[in-house]
Amino acid sequence: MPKIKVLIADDHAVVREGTRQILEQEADIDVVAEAADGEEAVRLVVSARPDVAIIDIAMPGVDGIEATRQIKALYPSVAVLILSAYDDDQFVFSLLEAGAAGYLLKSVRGRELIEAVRQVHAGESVLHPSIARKVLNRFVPTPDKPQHQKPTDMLSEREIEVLRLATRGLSNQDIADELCLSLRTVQAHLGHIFNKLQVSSRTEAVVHALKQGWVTLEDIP
Amino acid sequence: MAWVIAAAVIAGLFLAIGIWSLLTARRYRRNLEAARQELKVSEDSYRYLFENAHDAIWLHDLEGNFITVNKATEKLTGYSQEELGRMNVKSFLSEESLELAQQIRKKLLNNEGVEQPYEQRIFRRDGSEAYMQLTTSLVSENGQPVSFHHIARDITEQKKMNESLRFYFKQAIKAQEEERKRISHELHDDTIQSLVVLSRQLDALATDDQVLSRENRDLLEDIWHRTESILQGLRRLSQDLRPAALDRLGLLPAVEMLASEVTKYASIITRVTLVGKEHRLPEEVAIALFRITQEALRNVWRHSGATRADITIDFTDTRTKITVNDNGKGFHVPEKMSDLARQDKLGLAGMHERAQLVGGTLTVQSQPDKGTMIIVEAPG
Repeated sequence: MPKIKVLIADDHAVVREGTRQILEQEADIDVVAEAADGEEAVRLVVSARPDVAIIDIAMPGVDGIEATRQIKALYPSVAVLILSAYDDDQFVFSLLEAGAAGYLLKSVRGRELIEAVRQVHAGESVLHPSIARKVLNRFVPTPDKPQHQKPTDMLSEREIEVLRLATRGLSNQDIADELCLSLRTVQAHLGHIFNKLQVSSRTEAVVHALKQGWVTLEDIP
Repeated sequence: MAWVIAAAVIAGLFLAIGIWSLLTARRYRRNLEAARQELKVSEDSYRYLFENAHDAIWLHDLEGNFITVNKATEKLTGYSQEELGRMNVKSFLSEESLELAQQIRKKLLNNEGVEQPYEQRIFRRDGSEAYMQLTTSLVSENGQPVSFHHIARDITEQKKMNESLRFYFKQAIKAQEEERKRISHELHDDTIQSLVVLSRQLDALATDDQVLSRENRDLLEDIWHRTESILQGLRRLSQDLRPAALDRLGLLPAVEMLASEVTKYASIITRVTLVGKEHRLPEEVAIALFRITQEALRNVWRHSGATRADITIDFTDTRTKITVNDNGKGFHVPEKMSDLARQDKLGLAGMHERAQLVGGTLTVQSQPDKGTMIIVEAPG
């Protein structure tokens, strides 16, 4: 199985080094590039083509938010994982809108970081229901916004069901159990959803559903 | 016989009248003299008051030609009384000041009210500027307007002092914000990052079961937790000093952050509504609006007893307006903003000053038991 290629962008060399050390202990992860600012990160994504980009927010020049936007615009398939020292919800919202698949605090435990890299790579990252609720509050449709797309324009009934359950924070296995499907089928549905919505992770798909108003507060526990 | 008596009586009467008239005329002359004397004393004392008044006082005709001026007018304008006697007020006024003077003239002639005293700027003999605070009234004779009467106080020094105070206040605010920003960045870029590295090393040791005993790992685990809580405290402090959201994301997300904090920690349901299209503001304006909103919410929290607060941010192309509305106990708003400080409402007075520094305005609407509404509007 090919290794997960990872890029690390952080302007603090010691933090970058620490992140690299944590990840390099893992046989399935390969750190292919390191960047000291947002601009370098975007450039290295183009040349090194990582699967996952780990990005800090506070970087000189092009910051992590802008870098995420640019990376997602160039290569939608690269999963962006934010590793930040800020713990405001506002940053989480903005980064999710910019296309990030996950958001972790820098002081996260090593094991959790490794798990998160594997998850965003597999498109498996789960948006915590409490965050989903806040994101939804933020995207409450206002009258002057243009008409939303209908989910049925883009997705099949089954796919919509899978997406709704994903929004509730259910894992693939839980969704499979809930809908009496095999895990493989659920994964296939998610793959189709990602393709149709042009996203690369569950988080992005969920944010898309929330933004379009396909999911309501009642859908989130 | 009878006619002799009658003649004597008439003669006596005439004599009496003559004497009485003589006496009356003398008394009248004396009285007139006294009245003249009194009038002179009174006029002298009024003239003295006029001449030596600390305020400049002058009279000019309807065309602006001086009729009478006092000594203080000499001091205010730099011209002698004699020179002024040959001059017209127009020679002291800039175009802008002349326009104001003409407006006032027109209103007074039309018997319309004029807000008095008002401020006017003039040029002195040496070309320097002077500011005066003056009252103007129309003088009429037999129902016909004939001249204008002015009393003016030189407020140039006061004006300069206020300007330098305001300048100083602005510099102090700027220095305070810059210092807060610097410390906040230092905490974020240096202290927090170093602690992150430390916390990761502790985590690595605490989870490595090859080298350390269970007991030691538990001890490290404990130290890791403590490091985590120090980190949390520092993040909070750095945020309080200067919210990163304001600089990196803009005013709206920063205000949303404030609202969610108030909802969370003060149990006051606080909602933010956006009107118009959000855009980024100049840093100075963004921080001023943020701090004013922060102070308004602090007041809601500490003094109002409100259970909910509604924030509206209204962006137009050229201006941004924030309204903070609560359902708390309210208060009696003084007529003038300058009376806020006297009423011990220093927070509101400070918000007002801060709004003015960025060319904005602050309006406070409140009544006892009717809640409070703070509206701040600034260009940008």
